[in-house]
Amino acid sequence: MKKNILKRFWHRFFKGEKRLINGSKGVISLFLAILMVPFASIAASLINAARINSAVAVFDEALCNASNSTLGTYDEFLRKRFGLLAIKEQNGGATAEDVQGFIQDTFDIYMEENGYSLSNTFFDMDTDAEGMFPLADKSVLLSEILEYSKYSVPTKTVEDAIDIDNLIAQLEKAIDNMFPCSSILNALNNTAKKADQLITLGQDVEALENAIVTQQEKENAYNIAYSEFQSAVNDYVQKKNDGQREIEELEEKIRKAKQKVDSIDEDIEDIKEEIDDLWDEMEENEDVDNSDEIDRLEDRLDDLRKERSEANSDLSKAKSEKTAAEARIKAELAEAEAAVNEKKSAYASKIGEYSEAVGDAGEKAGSVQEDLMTITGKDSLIDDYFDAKKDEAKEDRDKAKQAIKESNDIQIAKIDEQIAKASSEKEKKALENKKKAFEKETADSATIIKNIGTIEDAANDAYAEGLNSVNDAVKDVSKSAVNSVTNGLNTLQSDVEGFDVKKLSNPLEDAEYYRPPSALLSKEELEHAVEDALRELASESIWGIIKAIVGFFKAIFTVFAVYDSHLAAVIDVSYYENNNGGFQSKKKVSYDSEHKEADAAMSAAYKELLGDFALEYTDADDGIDLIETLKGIIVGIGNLSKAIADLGNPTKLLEFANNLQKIVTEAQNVIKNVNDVFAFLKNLFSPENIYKKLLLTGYISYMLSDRMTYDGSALTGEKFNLRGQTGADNDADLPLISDMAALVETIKDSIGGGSDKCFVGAEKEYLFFGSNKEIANQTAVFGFIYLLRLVLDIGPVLTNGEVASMATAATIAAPLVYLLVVLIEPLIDTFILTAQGGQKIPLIKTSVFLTPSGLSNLIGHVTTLELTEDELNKQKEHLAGAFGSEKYAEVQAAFPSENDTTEGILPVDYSTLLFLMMFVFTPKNKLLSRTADIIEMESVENLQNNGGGEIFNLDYSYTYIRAEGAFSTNMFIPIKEMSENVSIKKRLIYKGY
Amino acid sequence: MRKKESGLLSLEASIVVVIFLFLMLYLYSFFIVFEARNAIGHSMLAAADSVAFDAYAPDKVVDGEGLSTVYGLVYGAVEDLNLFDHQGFTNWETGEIDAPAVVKERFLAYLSGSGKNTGEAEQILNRLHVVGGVSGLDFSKSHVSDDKLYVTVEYSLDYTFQVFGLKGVKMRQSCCSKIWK
Repeated sequence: MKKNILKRFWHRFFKGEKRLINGSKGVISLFLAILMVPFASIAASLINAARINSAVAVFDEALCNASNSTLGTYDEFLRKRFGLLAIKEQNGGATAEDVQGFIQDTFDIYMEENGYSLSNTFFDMDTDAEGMFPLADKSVLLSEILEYSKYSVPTKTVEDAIDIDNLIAQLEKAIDNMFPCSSILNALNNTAKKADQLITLGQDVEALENAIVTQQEKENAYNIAYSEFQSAVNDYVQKKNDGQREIEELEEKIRKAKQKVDSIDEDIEDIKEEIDDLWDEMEENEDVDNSDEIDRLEDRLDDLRKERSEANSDLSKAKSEKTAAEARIKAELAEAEAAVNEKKSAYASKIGEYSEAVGDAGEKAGSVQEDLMTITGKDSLIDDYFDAKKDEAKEDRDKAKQAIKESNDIQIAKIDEQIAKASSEKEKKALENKKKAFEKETADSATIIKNIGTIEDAANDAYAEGLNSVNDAVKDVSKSAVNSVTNGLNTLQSDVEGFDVKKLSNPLEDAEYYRPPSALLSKEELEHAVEDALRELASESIWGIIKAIVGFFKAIFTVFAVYDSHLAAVIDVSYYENNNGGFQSKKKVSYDSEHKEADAAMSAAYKELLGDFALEYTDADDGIDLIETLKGIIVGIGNLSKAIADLGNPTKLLEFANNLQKIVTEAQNVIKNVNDVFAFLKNLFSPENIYKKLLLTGYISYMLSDRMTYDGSALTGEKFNLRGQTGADNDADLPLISDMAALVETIKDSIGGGSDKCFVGAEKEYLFFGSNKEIANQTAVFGFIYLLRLVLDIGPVLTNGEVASMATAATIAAPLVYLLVVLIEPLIDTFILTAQGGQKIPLIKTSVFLTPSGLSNLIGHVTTLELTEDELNKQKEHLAGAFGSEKYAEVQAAFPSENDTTEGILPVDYSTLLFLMMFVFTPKNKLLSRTADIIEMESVENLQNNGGGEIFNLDYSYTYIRAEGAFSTNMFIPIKEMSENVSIKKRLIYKGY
Repeated sequence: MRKKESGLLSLEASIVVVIFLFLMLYLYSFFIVFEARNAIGHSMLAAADSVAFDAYAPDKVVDGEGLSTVYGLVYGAVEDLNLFDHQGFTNWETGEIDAPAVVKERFLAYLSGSGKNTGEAEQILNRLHVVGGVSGLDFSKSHVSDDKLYVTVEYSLDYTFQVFGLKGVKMRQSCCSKIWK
């Protein structure tokens, strides 16, 4: 083919009749023709190249223009309400294909309009437009928010006079200042120790009481045993004496009988002699007839013989009687002796038992004395012991004060060096503020240590004074006194054991074998002493203040609301799960692009762009369950209140001590939760990346509504509240606010139910808690603010002179006064901040509401709060009257309040506080993902209200167009063999807002 | 070479070379035409984009967002922006119905890269042989319809070399942008 062309060319020019070159004719033309054709060709090629290049440039421009026009079809609601730009979800956003189809259609319209009219170079165009990077991508959302906020938020904060730098600096200082909390804990631990010691004392007092009862029982038994012993001895003696007397009588009787026998015998002998004489006379003198006389005498003799026989019989009888009597008496005496011995043993035993009981009571009294010394550091022998302890405590406190001062002085010296090197006035001022903060901390710590020291001293004095009666009662039960008694009893016991009744002939004398009972301490005396002590320790002068504060705590729950009941929407979670795949904040990855990697590889320029978008959703770990902690604190306050109410009028020291221990345990539980909050807030405090976070939180603060601002407008000028101010009334199943614990428990189970598509007004609250129940979110934020105020108020409370006055007046309950004021003061602040028409509360307070004079400041707030002045005045009188005007004046003089006329610095309202809390404590990812939820919810609500369909999905709210196109063009000078269209493939652009 | 043919080469050259020369110059004119069309097309698309975007700017800068103060501090008075307001198809500054003028002004700014100074645009247009320069550009057919801004420009281009009295070509270019509202 190529050969034929050359042959023909040669023939045409040099051969044949019609050859072109024929001598010199036409040689110039031919020369130019030959010469110029390449020139012309090159020129034409260049023109064609320029034409095609121009077409490429125009095509690119057209792609950009069509992309811009498609981007210009943005969602008006997002723009007006949130200041955000995303391509409209024209087809209802039902599926990604719907939205992408709309984007393609829109893009094609502009591409066709522009492509063919701008250049006639294009033969046909093929373009593919795809939406990319939806607002659901947190990085995209953040970049749009930052873009919107970079001017508007700083302007607005200046307009609103929000000194964010100072607020953060003060907050940082409050968060870092952990000292006061440990002070309360220390003071409380001291009270816990005292409560434990009081329990031991109470147990020992009860043991002593029992020992005294036992002693008295033993004493009675001792007396009875002695009586019985004495009776037995006396009985024995009686019997012995009676027996002797009876024997003697019987012996007398025998003697008399014998005497009678002898007398009769003598009479018989006389009569016999007289008869013999008569017989002799008669024998001698016959005349004498003495027969009659002899008969008479014989008769007489017979009579005498009878008498003798009788007398003999009597004698024998008497003798028998005596023998019998002797035997009987012996037996009786033996029995009496046995009884005596038995009683003697019993008596000796009772003496031993009595002695033991006295010793035991003495021992118990000794334990009580030791307990008293431990509690009060004082006994009758070592009066200066307590003063020494005081000195030691003071020394410790001085050391702590000095340590804080030295630590702060080092920091101040460093700051001084930095001030000297400061390059600008602004930097210098910031450093000076920092220095002032350290100086104030030194001063504050000194005040706190002084106050804590004073109340510790007052508490120790109160324990000593309160237990003085018990001390007085038991001090007589000294070891020597007890030993004297027990020794005497032991000696008596030995004497009794050695007692021999046989040696005794007279009744027992008391002085010999008896020791009158000792009057060391009676049960009644001890009971009176304990009653006196309890009157002191549980007195109204101590617990009246505590009860007044608890009363105030209960009272404020009846007049304030934790949440705004108008804002009671419950989001229909299933709707979002069914239509949108769930809330944005619950999705792990919201969006990814199939082109991402390919495009990134294709162009390094895109790589940076694409790499900037992180698509991972990770929720920050909050460290602790904030709601559980809040519940712990609220329930703790409730339990503490109940324990204080249960204190009542105890009759037993142990009962009081157990109640005190219960109170302290509850207080310690609360402190533990407060400490958790401190640690949590400290860990969460992350002021890094300040500028971006400031813009983000500023945007959220001004663009989303909260329970205080929902009837206002966003930064864009649009009204917040889409549905009017009445939300669905779904709070019927929630517990009453007076039962905070139950309320908190209920709101924890936050998912489920509901028919609302968006919240009525408490949107920012959702960012903190993320519940679908509006009331739950409000309650949670209430709790969060309360916890933050707790951190902020602890310093001002501990350095406040009037609180120190109240605590000092409460003596042994002083730590509880501090604790209760620390716990309840922030509650008042939170109520003021969240009440309808809520007011500003200084970020750093210099006065405390929960004091008699502080309540006067609170009265200034009542005109706009749901609390009447009368109610408040009643509480004030209650509080001031709780520790008596005289004592109040006394302690007031000791602790003059320096700042009673001002309430504090940097007053902030509810919304500003939320701004600060979001800025400092809420992770960026959480804020962004939940803001995405709110945007989605409001957009759905807006669509439904305006009949624009139901479905709005932030996943399809694209912010970028990826436009890819190709076109074909012809040659400028068509050449048959080369007339095929020239294709320029793959023009790719990304365009976004 | 024979005598009767003497001068033939010169004569032939003088005719043919001139023709070729004119041909080359005519071809060169195409470069200029393409350049002009390209430059005007680019500026027109940019102007259309820009004017379409103006609708967004008044909303953002002027309405309700408190940005006018900041803008004023940083860039000067908002009123100096001469923004185009789609709402009434009016000039934001004057309130007059004058869309073609606004579009033309923006077009010239993009063409010259020098804001309101039309001198540079005039020079560029002259270099591109736009007949009548700035005043030769006719944007009167530009209009807004269905939230779309149609920018149309009509102009005539002279050939760089008016070979054989060739008249220039009339050009009409248009583009469309979605108004950002």
